[in-house]
Amino acid sequence: MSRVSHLVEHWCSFYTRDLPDTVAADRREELTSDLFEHRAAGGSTASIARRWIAGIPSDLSWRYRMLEASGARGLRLFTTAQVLAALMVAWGITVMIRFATSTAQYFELSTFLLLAAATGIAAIGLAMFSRSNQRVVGVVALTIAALAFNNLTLKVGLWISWTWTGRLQRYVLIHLMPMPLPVALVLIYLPGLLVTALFVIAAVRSRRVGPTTA
Amino acid sequence: MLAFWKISSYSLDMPRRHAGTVLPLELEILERGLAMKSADEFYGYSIAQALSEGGHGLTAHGTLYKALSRMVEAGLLTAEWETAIVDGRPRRRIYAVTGDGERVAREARAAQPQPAPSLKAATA
Repeated sequence: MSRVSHLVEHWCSFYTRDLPDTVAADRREELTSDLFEHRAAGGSTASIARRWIAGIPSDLSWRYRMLEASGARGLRLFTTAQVLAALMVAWGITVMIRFATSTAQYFELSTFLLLAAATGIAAIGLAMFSRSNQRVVGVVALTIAALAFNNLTLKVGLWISWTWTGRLQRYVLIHLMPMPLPVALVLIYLPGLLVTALFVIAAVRSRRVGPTTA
Repeated sequence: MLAFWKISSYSLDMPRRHAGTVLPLELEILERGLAMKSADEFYGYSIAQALSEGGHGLTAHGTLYKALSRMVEAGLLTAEWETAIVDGRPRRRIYAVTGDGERVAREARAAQPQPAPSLKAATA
């Protein structure tokens, strides 16, 4: 079997991973048959890859529908939280790449290491959050990462955008700093706190969504 | 003036499709199924091949199997796994158009607007 067929089967195992057994088995077996027939008919690797990639959005919406039909609660919020966690990881990686490919005028090793650690914690948190029996630990990890990102944004923002970071810093200095300290702290950490609240609510409402084994 | 949230495609609360309505892909699947000579030849890959005869490429895995799954749920098709293993290949899931599927296909085809006569035919 070709490498792309293996990839298609792995992808199928991934998106059917926590669906009812018969539904998942039917989809896997049907796809195995399709890949075999396609190969036997002389289908090229490119043609199989095109069919796979073009069908990914439908695979995901089918999975969502099947999960809904199987009575999974809080699915929409859970998916939103997963996307948000994935965006945090992507943001951390983007900032690190931008730093590595730009001038090192504002380089601070400690900040860079903190960012790398927060990105790693967010990635681990996302993986744990996706499993129902590790979700609580996942929420803790994502909370740490969200607050760390919140704290680091003002520093590492200069690696990404002078304009926006400058505006953000001016806003913090002019509007937030003169406020009483507890109020200022809450407002500065508001984005991180809101994201954390979303993770907690999503975890509570979707206790049974996702696989339980590692 | 028409606000964007009044256009159903952009509405956050877009209603789900009415029961009984079929998408163009589903209608094509029904028609290919009805035109299929041998009942054993209507399975996933053969359907993708039949649909590609109009000049399109083979239908994407996700698109095809999602549509088939929805049509089985709606009672337009039935699906049965082959019981015997033939020539060492993986077994196929054989589909068949139900009576409801046949009726829906007929009604959907009748409801489609007829193509306008060509200028050549009109002036002949």
